Amino acid sequence: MHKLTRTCTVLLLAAIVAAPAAHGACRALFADGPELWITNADGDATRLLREERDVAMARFSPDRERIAYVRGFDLTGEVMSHIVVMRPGSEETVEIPIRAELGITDVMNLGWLDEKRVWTEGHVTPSSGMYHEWDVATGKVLTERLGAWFAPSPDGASLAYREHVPHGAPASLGDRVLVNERVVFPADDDTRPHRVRGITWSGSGQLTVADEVGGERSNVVVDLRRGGASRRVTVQSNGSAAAARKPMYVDLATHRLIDEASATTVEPLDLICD
Amino acid sequence: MTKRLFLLSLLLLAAVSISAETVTVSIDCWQGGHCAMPCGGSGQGNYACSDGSGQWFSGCRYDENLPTAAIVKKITAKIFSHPCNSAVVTATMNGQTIGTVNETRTSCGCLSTSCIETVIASQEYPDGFPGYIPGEPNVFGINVGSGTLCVEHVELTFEYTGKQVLITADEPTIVQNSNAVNNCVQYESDLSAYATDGNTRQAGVSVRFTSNRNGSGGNPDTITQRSTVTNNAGEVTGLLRTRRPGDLTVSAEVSDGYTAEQHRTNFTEADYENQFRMTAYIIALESDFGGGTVTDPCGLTGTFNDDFLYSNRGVLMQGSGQTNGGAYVTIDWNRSRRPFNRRNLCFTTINCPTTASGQCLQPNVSIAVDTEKIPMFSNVNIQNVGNRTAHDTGDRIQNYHIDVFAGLGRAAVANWGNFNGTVRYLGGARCTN
Repeated sequence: MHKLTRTCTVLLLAAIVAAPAAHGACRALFADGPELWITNADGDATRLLREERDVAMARFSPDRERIAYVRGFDLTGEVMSHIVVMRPGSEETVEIPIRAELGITDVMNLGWLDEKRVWTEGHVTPSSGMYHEWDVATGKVLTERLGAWFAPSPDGASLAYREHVPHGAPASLGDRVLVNERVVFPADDDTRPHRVRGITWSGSGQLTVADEVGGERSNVVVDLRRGGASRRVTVQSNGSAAAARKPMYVDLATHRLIDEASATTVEPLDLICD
Repeated sequence: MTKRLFLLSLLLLAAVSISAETVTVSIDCWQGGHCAMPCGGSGQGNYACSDGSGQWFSGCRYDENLPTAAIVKKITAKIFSHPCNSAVVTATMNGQTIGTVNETRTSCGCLSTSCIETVIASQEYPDGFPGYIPGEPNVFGINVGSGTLCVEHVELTFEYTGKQVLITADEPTIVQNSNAVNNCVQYESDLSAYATDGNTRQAGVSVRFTSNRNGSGGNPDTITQRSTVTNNAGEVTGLLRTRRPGDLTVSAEVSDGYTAEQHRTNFTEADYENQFRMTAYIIALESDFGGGTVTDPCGLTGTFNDDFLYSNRGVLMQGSGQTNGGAYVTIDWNRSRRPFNRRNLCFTTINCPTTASGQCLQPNVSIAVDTEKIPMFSNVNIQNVGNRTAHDTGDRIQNYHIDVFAGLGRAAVANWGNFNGTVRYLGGARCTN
């Protein structure tokens, strides 16, 4: 795409997404290839930086003062990429090397656990990957786990993920979801082979699993105390398959689904509103 | 011969008469005979014979001033000649046969007798006489198979239509964010139609696109008309979507007096409208690992590197690997149990690391995909990578993500860089539509 066109696209998208500013001050992060952009409350987009490789997984810190992102991977060296933590408007930048010895070849997801720790889900095989917790100050790996669809809870106290299955497992071997190493889905008496297509937490601490079993897809709110599904919302067949891939937040108070998968072409890497 | 034609062809248009749907051209490339022939028409008198008398032309270049957008459906050649004996005559247009007649009439002689009119007519070509280019120079030819023909001049009559609807279809693409159904990807192609009368675009012409495959069973091709009457630019547009691979002919139902020119297109190869995320994966290679060894691990006999089998970068993660002895090992799923860790793993040897499709994993061939986007066994061309085949899947490969199998061990990905790129579908999926 022509540079000018790309820039205009970013600005246009930024302007569109910044529209909620009229209802509250929102800021959004966008990646446009190697460039990272931010929108302010007035809807203006500003380029924060330009990398040599693509920028991915940019996320605001919990205090909203810093941004963490991942540089594009280059597998030719011992250091394949970096997690970069930067503070907009200042020179403060921390680069955490992602070394080849970790065995990951890409970062599929990134988040903040608190102001001192970020987490990543690294890609290894088509079936499974690795979760790492990183100390922002030292760059050290604090925790490593195998699995997929890692999702720390909003309070940082729990880690939900799909149990690790080595690549090549037979389809009859269903998936299981763990929270803090305890199986929470499917229920003990459910022997059907489930396929987990995503895991997410609501802001109020509800765990939702995008599940497929017997060809039927649904978003399941997991009963964390007893295990299994406390609410199952079947995904309609009229083109909502993509929604099942990205779990939807289910508001149990109103029984309303909030579809997070509507922005399918370009969506902000992160969006915060006051 | 061609050069000679260029140099010597005489564009002698003795007369042109145009009616609503026909035009007649008199051409006379045949000169130099030793006497005049009273055949009628301008330029009459000189002639040439197929036995070499005079300046015989087997091909005569001419211009007929038809609109360039016209479709010539039928050509009739009337040859004014004196056959000196029975002659088998074939008339051609740009090398394409118009027709052949056996002219048994003879009238050999000069001045004293009228010419014989030998009529050779082509069949009807609804889509246009093959290879004919209206409004441009074309070459009429006479081939005499036996006997001798002395030609004075030729009249060519063209039956054509100037009112037509020209249809075009863009190169197919694979619909953004669409899912494959029954291993069939969803194609789409933008359709355009232009109504013309001669060389002038025509507004107000009704155009409704049709597919030749609808009504013949299978899922129908879906055509959405964006408009049904040509605008001031003479244009109507539409969108065709289909899950049926293969040839498709788009035509149109059009206003009376107009003829729709069909457009044939092939739905096999197509670019995905979405970009894909490209990553790479490997299988473990024992020589990549240092450290301690383990002897006779569950399911295997011998000594193996411990990390190769049990570490987070070994067979425990990758699912399979190659030992220093060259054997492939994988998880013995019947003897292993959850959680998959050192304590619960058993291994077995295999001929090759297999994929979700049952095929062996092959470097430079196999990729893992989301089969809702790229059906199993599809061949694709990946930007900056090349042609690959969808052999494998994995829960973590979803949507527009391709995991390229790079080969054995870390060295296999040493030159790899992840990227977002374009993908072209090349067919190969076992589509059952």
